[in-house]
Amino acid sequence: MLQTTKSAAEVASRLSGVFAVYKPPGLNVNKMIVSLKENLGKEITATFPWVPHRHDYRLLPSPDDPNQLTRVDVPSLSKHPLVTGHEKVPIYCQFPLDTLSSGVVVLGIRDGIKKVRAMFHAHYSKQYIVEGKFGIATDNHDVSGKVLERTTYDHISGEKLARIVSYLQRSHQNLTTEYAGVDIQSQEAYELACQGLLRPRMNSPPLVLAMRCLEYQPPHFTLEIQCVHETPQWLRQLIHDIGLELRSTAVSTKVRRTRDGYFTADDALLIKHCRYEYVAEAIERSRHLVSWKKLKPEDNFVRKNSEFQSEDEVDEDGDGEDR
Amino acid sequence: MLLLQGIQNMGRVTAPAFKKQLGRNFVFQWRDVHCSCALTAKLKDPPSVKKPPDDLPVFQYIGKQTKRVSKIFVWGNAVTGALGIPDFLDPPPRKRARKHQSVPYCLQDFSQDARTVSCGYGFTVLTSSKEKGKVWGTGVNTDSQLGLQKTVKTTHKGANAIVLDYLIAPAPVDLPLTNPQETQVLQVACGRAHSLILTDREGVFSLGNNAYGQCGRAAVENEEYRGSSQINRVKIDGKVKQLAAGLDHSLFLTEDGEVYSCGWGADGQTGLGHYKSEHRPTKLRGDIDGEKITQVATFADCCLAVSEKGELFGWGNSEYNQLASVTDTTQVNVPRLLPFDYVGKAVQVAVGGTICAVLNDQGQVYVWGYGILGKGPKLEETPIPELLPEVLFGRNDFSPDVSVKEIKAGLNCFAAVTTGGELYTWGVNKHGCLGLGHVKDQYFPWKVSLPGEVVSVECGVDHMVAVIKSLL
Repeated sequence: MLQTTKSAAEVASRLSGVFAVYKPPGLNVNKMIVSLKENLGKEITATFPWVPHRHDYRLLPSPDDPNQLTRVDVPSLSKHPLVTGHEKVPIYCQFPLDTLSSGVVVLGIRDGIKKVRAMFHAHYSKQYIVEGKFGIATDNHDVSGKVLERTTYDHISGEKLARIVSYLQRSHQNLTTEYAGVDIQSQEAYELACQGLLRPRMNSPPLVLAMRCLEYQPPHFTLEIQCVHETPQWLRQLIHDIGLELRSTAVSTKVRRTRDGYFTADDALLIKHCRYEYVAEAIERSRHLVSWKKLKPEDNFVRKNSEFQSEDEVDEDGDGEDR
Repeated sequence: MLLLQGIQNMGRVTAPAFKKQLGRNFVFQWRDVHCSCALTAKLKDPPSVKKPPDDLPVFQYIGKQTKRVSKIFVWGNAVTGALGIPDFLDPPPRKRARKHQSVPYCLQDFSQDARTVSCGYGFTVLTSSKEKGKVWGTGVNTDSQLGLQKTVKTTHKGANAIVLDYLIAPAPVDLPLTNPQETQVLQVACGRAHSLILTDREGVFSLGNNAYGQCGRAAVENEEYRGSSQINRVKIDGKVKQLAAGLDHSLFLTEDGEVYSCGWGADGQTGLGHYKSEHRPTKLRGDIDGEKITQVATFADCCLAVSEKGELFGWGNSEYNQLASVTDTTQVNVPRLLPFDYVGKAVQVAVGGTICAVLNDQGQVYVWGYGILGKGPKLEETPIPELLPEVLFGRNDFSPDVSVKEIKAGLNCFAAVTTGGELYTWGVNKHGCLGLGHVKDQYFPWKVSLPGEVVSVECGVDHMVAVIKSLL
């Protein structure tokens, strides 16, 4: 039988793609995803009334003649929400944040999962704003941990902090080019370096691409860090190392991811806006951020060097992230 | 749902009490329930910051008034002893001798009070800020370029003095100073087998090979340089500001901006208008006459100078098209103005064996000549300066105003120090002289990892020395 109205499943299949959520601190990502799945599913089920996907027929005694059987079409209940439960929405996250940190988390729904997985192989850089505090050392390098040691910090000036920060960044710089996947003695490597594109393109240990000190009001300081293959705990370890380099100790008070690949904090949905309509809108809005062209930078590069010159010039403005 | 909310409310209000009574397990359960309804329920508050207990001691690892210290780092060919680390050539038990050191190594003895250094062909001369009138040398000493260095060797026949041809650790050079307490050594320059030492009160001293008069005294036929204790005071009209030593010639820049030269002139590197050797320091004429020169540079046979106006001058060897913009021949024997207006106002020049570089007041580096110039393997040769992109010296969005402040050249390699105190090297990596941890050639500027802010760098023929300042 021909259907005229859309079923919930059909409508929900529109919900397929990649979007970003701004995770507040204190919330576990996995639990956020579980509740997101549940809430979206419930909402879809509730918003779009159930329409039978097919009709079964029954042979029932005819009302006129009890000895005769007539065919009666009845809606199939096999896919009724009361039978199957609410709509299932598969969601996947490639780069989760831990409970203490906050910021942009990119999630993939249905077909978007493939793209989110591809983001892992694209080796995008991520940007963090990390706040720290001198003077104490804790067992987990976070301010919430158990205090193990107290130290002086009055010798640290903003200039010294900037010097150490640039020194640590410099020590990572050569490593980033080692993992660039090109022969460093080739002309290709030189041309990439001239564009500032010599950055990791293979699996590597956590690496800082750029780091600067935004603010220092003793004992609190704020750093802006661009890195790859990191975890929030590794960033806390980095804050701890900065403290040790300055002959003091430091813990991180906040770890905030402001950019994940092409997704900035502006693209991220607040947790209260994780409703069907907003999510669908956000997926449409960020569809250009996850085109396959951007997700396969190696292919882009090969093309850039060979024939497709004009095609890539169009794509050039989108590659601003690559610095 | 109601039940859940009830549990949540209960948890929120009475969590501490439950914690005490029921232990951790219950609290975890409550958190699970709470978070599964994250979208509707209020978020868990971030964990409250615990105050450190008051009886916890406060450690002080560094004082407030601590001063930054200078350190000297050396790398490159270790066989000549020019690195000044005796353990490389005379290793302690169960250690191997090192022929080359491809990563920077701290020269411990001079670390606290290092000031200036100079590298020659297999030897290094160092000065110290503590004992200002003293000079130390290490490395090749076959022509007494580090002064007369002797040691006493005792055998069963008796003791006899032997002349040291190679020094593997820095040894003081005896300078014939009249007032050693007050005289300061300002600068040192090293050539192939001679050294020049500039002092503030007593002029310039020269020692080592004088076969072509490069020490500023008349060349003597069949002079024995090994074991010679002769140190000559160079006579120049005017006060010398800067020295430069090439293969077998010497350049002196006075405070008036005049250039004097002496030594071997077969390629015109003395710039005196002839191709003969000259032992008296003579003033250079040509295009630099009347110009106030601020810096001269030479390493082998080609010489460059930069004037106060920012103009470039060159003379000497042009076999590798270093001076091809002004001549078709392979030699130029008078200083010529190089027509490189697009470079901007030149501030510093550096010249190696076949390579030249100039730094302008914007902090941009231009290179020309023949060899590995720093623009990838494709660019092997260019007679006119080509700009090296600033991105290669670490300029990016995060540090937009990094520029090069000092540039030096070895025989086939360059070194540049940026305003951020970073050292970049590129060129032929003979014996690991670029300090990059390997011995492969580097075709564009690459950062050397050093534990501090680089103050200055000096390139020898196959080794480099950097003076750095500690970070704290």
